[in-house]
Amino acid sequence: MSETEDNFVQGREAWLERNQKQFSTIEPIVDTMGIEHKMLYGPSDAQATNLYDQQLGFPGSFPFTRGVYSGMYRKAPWRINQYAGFGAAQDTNERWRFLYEHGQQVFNLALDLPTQMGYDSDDPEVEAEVGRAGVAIDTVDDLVSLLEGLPMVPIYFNVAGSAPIIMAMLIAAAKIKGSGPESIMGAFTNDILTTYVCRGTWIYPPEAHMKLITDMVEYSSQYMSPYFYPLNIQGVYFRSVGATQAQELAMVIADALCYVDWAIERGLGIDTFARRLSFFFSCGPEIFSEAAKFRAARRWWAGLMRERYGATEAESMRLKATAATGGRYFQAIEPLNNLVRGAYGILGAVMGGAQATFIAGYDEAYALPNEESAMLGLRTLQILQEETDLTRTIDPLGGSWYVESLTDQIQAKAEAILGEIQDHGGVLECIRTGWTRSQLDACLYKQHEGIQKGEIALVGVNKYCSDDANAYDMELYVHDEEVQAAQSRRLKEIRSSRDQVAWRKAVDSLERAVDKGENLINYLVEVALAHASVGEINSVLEKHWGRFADPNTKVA
Amino acid sequence: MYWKNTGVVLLIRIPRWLRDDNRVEDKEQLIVMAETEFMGAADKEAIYPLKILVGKLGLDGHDLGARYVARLLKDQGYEVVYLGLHATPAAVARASVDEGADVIGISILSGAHIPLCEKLLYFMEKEGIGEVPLVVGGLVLPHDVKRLKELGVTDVFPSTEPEERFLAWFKELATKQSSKH
Repeated sequence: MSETEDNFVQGREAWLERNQKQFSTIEPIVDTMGIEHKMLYGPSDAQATNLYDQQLGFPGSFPFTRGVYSGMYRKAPWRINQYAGFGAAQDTNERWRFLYEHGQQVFNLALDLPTQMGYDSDDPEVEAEVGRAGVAIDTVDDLVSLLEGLPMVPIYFNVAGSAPIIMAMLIAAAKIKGSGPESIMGAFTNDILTTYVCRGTWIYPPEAHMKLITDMVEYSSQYMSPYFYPLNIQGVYFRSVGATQAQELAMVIADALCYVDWAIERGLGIDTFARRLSFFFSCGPEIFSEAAKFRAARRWWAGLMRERYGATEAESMRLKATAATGGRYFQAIEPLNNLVRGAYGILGAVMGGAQATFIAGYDEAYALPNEESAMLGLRTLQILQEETDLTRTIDPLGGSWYVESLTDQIQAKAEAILGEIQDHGGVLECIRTGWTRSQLDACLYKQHEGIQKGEIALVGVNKYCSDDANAYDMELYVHDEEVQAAQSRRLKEIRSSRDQVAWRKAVDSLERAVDKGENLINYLVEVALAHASVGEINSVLEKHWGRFADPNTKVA
Repeated sequence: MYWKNTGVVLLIRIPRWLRDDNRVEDKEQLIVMAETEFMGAADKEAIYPLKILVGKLGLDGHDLGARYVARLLKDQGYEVVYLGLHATPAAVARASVDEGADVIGISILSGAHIPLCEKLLYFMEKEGIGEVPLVVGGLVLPHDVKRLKELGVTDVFPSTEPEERFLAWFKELATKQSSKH
């Protein structure tokens, strides 16, 4: 310990001693991760600052703690990535144009559940859910309408189960419009491993999806724009079912390593595909812990890529992260307060150096965002970028004794949890046994108890409650019941007007390729070009792999 | 787990396999927890151990509420069977017959509660369990609460509501069932 640190440690002791009487009523604070937050931090708490080059470094260089790119927000602010999609393709196209005209630079697509899980809009099993939680896509023709008249900007597809089918349709749509896969920018969520623990949008057993994802990683590394990301690994869903920041980080990294291992097993070189992995973290009211999490995530990932996999290119070691606030943090009671929660909630991501952000609609607890709430989320982010000083300097919290200490501790906690996952047989085994979910259930239950008992304060919900809080004055998004019928009619027309011979031929070759275990993307593109529907394509894959039943049915 | 609520005090022992299982951490704590829970439960008044079937209808993967409620009800001493995600109306009705459920609880956050509950009620009728109470929780707005009740749903507990009324509802049902038996 240096002299300054020694002096600080002794000084803090003396300060606590001096104020003992005054401080006697102050309770210690231990957060949900088990990290104790001291009343005062100083030089002895920030070990990373003593090992500046190894632990912090410069933005854009290993270990990327201070930022994934050299110029960070001084060069360009984070991207605004508001999530939107509902009804039929034309409805979403209109909302996207609206957001674009108001300054949103990328599109972030919500797909309806039938599309995400391989069903057609006219399937009686799922007709109730068509166009409800997102836009309904049945064939390549729907994607063409969705993209009609839009500028060429990156598009984010929030889809896991049917991701290979939708990606093939996107490539097919580009071909129809006269451009190739190299022109496609954007990302697919595609993080199937998370969905087996929470969110539930898988179709086949884990190994089948892992094969398909590896197909996508391989294909995109060979043929697609360098700004296309076939895999966006999602911590945000772990958080929405109870994960702490450390659990979120550990589980995301565990999943990411599993994808990397499969790609390596396929014979891909780490530096050919690692750059195409991106990440998605949740953000909440613990601003400093969230910021520290982004810093820890970058440093940890860079180390793993370099040490464990021998990556040599900086691009392979960069953990590029999108951040979202909303979800479980947003409350149904006094929903306008969520606007304030959104603005504060995203601060941690921005001060932690995220590449893109998304704030959920304040009305999220009730319905999909309407035009007004989508706009307010966008405006919040624009105000942060244009009116505040958040973009003035890179890594503004770097060197804060408190935040450096949190960064170290969160990384250590997450590393320990990753060890536990490996001790329990690894990610796939933990999915099968339900271990991961049971860990999160326990955590959620504890947090919920804390809210019930008032130990965790939620203003307007369990503290300072008001009697006349009327939650229902909002003009909510209303689902158009006609979407399903219209979508089914369109599908019927396509089925009867398409070239039946070409369709049969494409379906047959896909079937053969599935049996042979080939990379399926080219076959999927062909079958999409033959106007096959999501449900038809899925049935070929489902016949081979079967549908997977929820492994999480145990009541904790 | 009827014994939990009967007030009979047993000397509980942690089974050997559990003591020897290396995967179980903090065994001592587990033992203390189990004992405390047992003693605590023994103090509670005896209630009829309703068998509750909890299900998620449709493709909606938001199972946080369903899983939380399942655990909450289990902690009250009821027997809970959770069917997991992606249950169809026909499968829920079938499982309720097989399990002999006293009550069915459905959680839906996708917005598709009206058409899905319509179907479930149809299959319940078809399976001859039209009399079994059906309650719905999740993202349900007031005008839909009314519509669901008109369809034949016994009660609705939107996620915006605190859990007191929910727990009281089950307690009342348990009392009613108890007097029947």
